[in-house]
Amino acid sequence: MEICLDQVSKQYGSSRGIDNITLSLPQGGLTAIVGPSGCGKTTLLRALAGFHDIDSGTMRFGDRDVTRAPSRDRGATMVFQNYALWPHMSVFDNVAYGLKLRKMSRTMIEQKVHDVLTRVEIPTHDIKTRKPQQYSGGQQQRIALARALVLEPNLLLMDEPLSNLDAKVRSRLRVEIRAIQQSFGITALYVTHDQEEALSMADFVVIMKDGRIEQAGKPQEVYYKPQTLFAAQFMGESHTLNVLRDGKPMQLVLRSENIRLQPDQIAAQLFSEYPAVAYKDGWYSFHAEIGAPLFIGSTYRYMAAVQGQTFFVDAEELYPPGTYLAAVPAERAYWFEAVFSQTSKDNT
Amino acid sequence: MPNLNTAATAKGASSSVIRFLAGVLMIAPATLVVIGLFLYPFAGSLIGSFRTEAGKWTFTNYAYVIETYYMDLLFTIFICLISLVLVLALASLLAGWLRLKADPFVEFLFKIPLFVPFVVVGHAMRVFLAPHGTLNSLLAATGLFNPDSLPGVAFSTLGLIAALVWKNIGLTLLLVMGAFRGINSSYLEAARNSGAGGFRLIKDMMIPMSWGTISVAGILTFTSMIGNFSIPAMLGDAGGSQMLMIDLYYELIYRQDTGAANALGVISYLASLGAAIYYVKKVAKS
Repeated sequence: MEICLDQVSKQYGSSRGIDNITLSLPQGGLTAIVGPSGCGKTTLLRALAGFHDIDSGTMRFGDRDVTRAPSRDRGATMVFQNYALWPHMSVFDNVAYGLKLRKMSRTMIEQKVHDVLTRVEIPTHDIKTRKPQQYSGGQQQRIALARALVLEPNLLLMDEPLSNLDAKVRSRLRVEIRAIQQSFGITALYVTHDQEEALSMADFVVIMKDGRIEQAGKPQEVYYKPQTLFAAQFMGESHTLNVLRDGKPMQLVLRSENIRLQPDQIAAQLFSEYPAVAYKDGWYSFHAEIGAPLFIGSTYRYMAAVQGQTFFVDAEELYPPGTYLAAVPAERAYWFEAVFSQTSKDNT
Repeated sequence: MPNLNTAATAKGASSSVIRFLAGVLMIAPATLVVIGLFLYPFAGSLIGSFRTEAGKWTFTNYAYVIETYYMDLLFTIFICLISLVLVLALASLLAGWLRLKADPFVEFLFKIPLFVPFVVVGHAMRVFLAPHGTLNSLLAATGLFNPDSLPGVAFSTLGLIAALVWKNIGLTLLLVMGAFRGINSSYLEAARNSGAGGFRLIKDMMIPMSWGTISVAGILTFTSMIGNFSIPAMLGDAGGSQMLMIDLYYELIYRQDTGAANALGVISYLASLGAAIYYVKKVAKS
């Protein structure tokens, strides 16, 4: 079922929650909404769940307009950050609750609950006696997922479901949730502030900022071809430098892993207030001072500086501190019109 | 080394004495209040209930009181239980509704009885529910009812229950609402999301999650109703059974039979004892 949002806005007091969002979620795919706190991603999710009304716009699930439909009639079930498993009910009752409200027969409920819990790999022999809080965090989140999936929703909503878990469990559950979502073939919307989670799990990534969509596309697309300064800065280990390109002030966003270092004994010469970036044979380069390396596992990370602007360089080789020529392949250098100016620099 | 050990033991002993004294000091005010205001009078009452006026040990007080007032005892427990169920049901529904849709005016309306003394409640109900009271006059004013055929609710069991419920709903609502407001919204949203409507949210989520608080509120209300005097004094059913406190008053003031009054006191104490034990257990648990 296709899920479409058309010009959806929701305001909280004077601050905007979401502003004029138009989006359609790929059918059977997982869409990740990523953005900093307060960007409106959770507001959007809750609007789709029907937890609050929107101010304007329409939401459609297939042919059905659900803009004013109550939460329970939408067929959009949610997995919460804190799991929200009801502590006074057994695991069985938690998962069966929605089915009971739908007045399903007892045998049907038993079968569905056992099936769904088996698919999320929760052992079912003691689910009627155990309470959710007797399970580990990762298991609780899988139970919560089962509770949402058992209702066979049109849309599965997930609100930062992994952020309460430790790193190891999180990276395993990413793969598991992705596999479960694909095996159910369900359309899913996944909210996270973790770009790695978004990139690794999603078919489609939406970057949000200040209640608006900055960029939406396939994970590779939003990572390699950022269309706005924010999208470029938000993804990856990114650094923004104020530089001169052909004498024109520009903002250059580059990512640590794309920078190559070449030893260069000539100290950078100061011609202007901003470092000048040169172009040659598909590479942009500039002089930079490299400090002592930090070993971060797969690579070394260098703190680099160019005329007081700092950034990181990740490289597998070990370089002694000194002046280097930092080079970035042209297709990995993201250029944006400068928002800084000569006068603002003078004032500071 | 042995010297060091002795010194350490001595130091440990003195610090544990200090800690013991500090502990005693901390619980002393509460303990003294319980002893002075509760245990001492209760002990007096208990001893008095087993003695004749001449000071002889006897069971006659209990024999007399049970024979005379056993219907009243049942009536009292019946009234209190009915009122309790009504209070808890009403307060839970209201608190649930207020949890879902904050309405300060309704909340204020139901907190009023908290600040109205029992005797005023009794009088107000008398005026409002009497055979020619405010309610019936208003009903008669619509022209649909004959004022003489309308029942006077005030001096019936129903009046008593209405007054007790109204008076006690404020405190119960306050306690239950506190518990409901402490429930994380995501539990309720998850339930709404699963298909639960407002009533289901209250019945399936809020009440079971706040069961401890609701039972504590229930016990406080129950004991307060059993020990209440003013409301039954002003509304009590003149013809049939009486509330226990009225009997106690009668024994003490008119018959001046302190032994019987003490026995009634002990019985009413026992009636709320079960509830009190449950309460203490709940408090200790939380």
